[in-house]
Amino acid sequence: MALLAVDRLAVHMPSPRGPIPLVREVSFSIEKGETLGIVGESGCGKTMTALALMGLLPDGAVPSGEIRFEGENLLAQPEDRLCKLRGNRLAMIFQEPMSALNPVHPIGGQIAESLILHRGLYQTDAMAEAVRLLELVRMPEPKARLAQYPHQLSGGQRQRVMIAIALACQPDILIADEPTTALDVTVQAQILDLIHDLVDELGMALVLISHDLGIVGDITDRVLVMYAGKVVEAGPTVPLFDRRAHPYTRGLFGALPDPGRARGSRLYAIPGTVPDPWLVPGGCAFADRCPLVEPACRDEIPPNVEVGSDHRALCRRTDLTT
Amino acid sequence: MSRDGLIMRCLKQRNFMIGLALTGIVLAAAILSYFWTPHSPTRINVPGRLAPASGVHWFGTDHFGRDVFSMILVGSRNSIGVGIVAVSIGVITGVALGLLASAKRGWVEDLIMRMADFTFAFPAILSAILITAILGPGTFNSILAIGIFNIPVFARITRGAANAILARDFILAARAAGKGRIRITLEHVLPNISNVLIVQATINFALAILAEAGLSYLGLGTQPPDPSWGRMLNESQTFLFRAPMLAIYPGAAIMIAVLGLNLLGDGLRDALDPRLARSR
Repeated sequence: MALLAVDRLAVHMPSPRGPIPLVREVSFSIEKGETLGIVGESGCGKTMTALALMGLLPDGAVPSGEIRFEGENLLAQPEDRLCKLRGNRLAMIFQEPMSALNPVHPIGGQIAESLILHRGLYQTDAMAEAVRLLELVRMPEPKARLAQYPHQLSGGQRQRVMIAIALACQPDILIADEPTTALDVTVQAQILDLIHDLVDELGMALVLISHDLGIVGDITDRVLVMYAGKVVEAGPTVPLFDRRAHPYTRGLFGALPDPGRARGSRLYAIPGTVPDPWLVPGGCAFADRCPLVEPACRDEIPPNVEVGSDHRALCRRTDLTT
Repeated sequence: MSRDGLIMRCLKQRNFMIGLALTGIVLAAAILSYFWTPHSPTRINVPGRLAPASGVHWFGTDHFGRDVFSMILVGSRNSIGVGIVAVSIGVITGVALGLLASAKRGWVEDLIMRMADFTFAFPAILSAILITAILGPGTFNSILAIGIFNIPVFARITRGAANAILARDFILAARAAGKGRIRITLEHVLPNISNVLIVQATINFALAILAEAGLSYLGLGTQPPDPSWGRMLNESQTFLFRAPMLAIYPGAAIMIAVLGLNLLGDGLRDALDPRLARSR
């Protein structure tokens, strides 16, 4: 049994125009210790998928399908059961370390809170454990940090604190939603190395959400490429990065800046924009932006083609992308 | 925002310092009155009535020959007591209702907020008169009446501030750490809105003192022989031309208390929210 198995997950947001699909038919599974990357541009449903896994969808959003964590369907669980799992078995790191810590509490208490809540530790033991966790995330002078407030820390340090909070109860799954987007590049590399090492060390499964292909390529075993709420390509990282079976995946790679390109030449951009969720066309959602589009793409839902071992793409033209 | 920084910013506020000094005077008068007053505030001495200020009676005597200075001192107790209890009723009940509204949302929020609107629809002093008219005059009933009208003020402010905090990222992060609604409300929302509540409590304290003086002036608040600033004003109006100072003293006492608390609240607000101070 997979540690986490997501089956046809969908998220709809009700609106006066009818329910808006934000995530559609997303299926994947993660084994213990496995790392999964989810890539796609802004608004493709990456964050909604992550929030659905945690049971933290915004008010009004309606999930459907199944999210099975060790066989238990999380979507059917009451809130108090989810509270027991969150922060304990499932943990999440957010994009903005600047605003994800409570400004009025010292960080020591914020780390210790999870331990007191889930592990039933006493205050002094929890504080000692907080020091150990700060050491684990390689925070300089961990003891002295306990009494500091979030505003006294740098962005990278705050993200380290967030990771320490997430790891406090040794979760089985760590969901990292763009954990390095708000940090500058050198700090980014340090934080990613840290996450990568910790995942190896503690044997957690990792779901890494990012729009940065380089990051995802570096540290994940498998990748999902999402577009307009759907998984358009899924497979093991190395073959998927080599093969790039879906035209959208190709477009993402094409849009990476190349240091060797001629100065002054324009960066490639995928033409057009992501369709509004309520206007997603009947056929392939990418049809309007696709260089390989043919009439059938606009009318029929594209087939889920197996293009390699455990590697699938949602496209009728994969024969053209070899 | 560290604690030291906050205290330093408070001390730099001119409003805060003036407010602190004026409030301090009133508070000191109340404390002093428990240990010492120049004369008994209730001892009647008819032959010595309406005496002008002198070395013996610093503020003179009223129409019963009671010492005005002693009455002002003891009256401050009354004003401060009513203020503290009435604001506490408002803060405790109002904050609880406001937090409940923002944590529960839906019909609970609607119900609480419509009730607050309903209470706001009547002028506070009129409703306080209504309540004391039904329950009968007296210090306790006037405290109750003033306290009840503090509840919707705090319920509204709490809900508004709490909703703004609930939309912040660290609330989502706290939920991701497995905290339930009640924990998040108490540990994350309440400490983040406490500055707004402190400022509002200071200002409502001033309003409560004013309301108590108003009710006592109308004869619905503190009953004789307990001295009260509002009733001293009432009793002095008959003698306004013979002894105008009888009205000036309690009036000035009310003004000092209300002005001091308002300045204190203003200064606190500026110190707690530096952005607001700079934009002025």
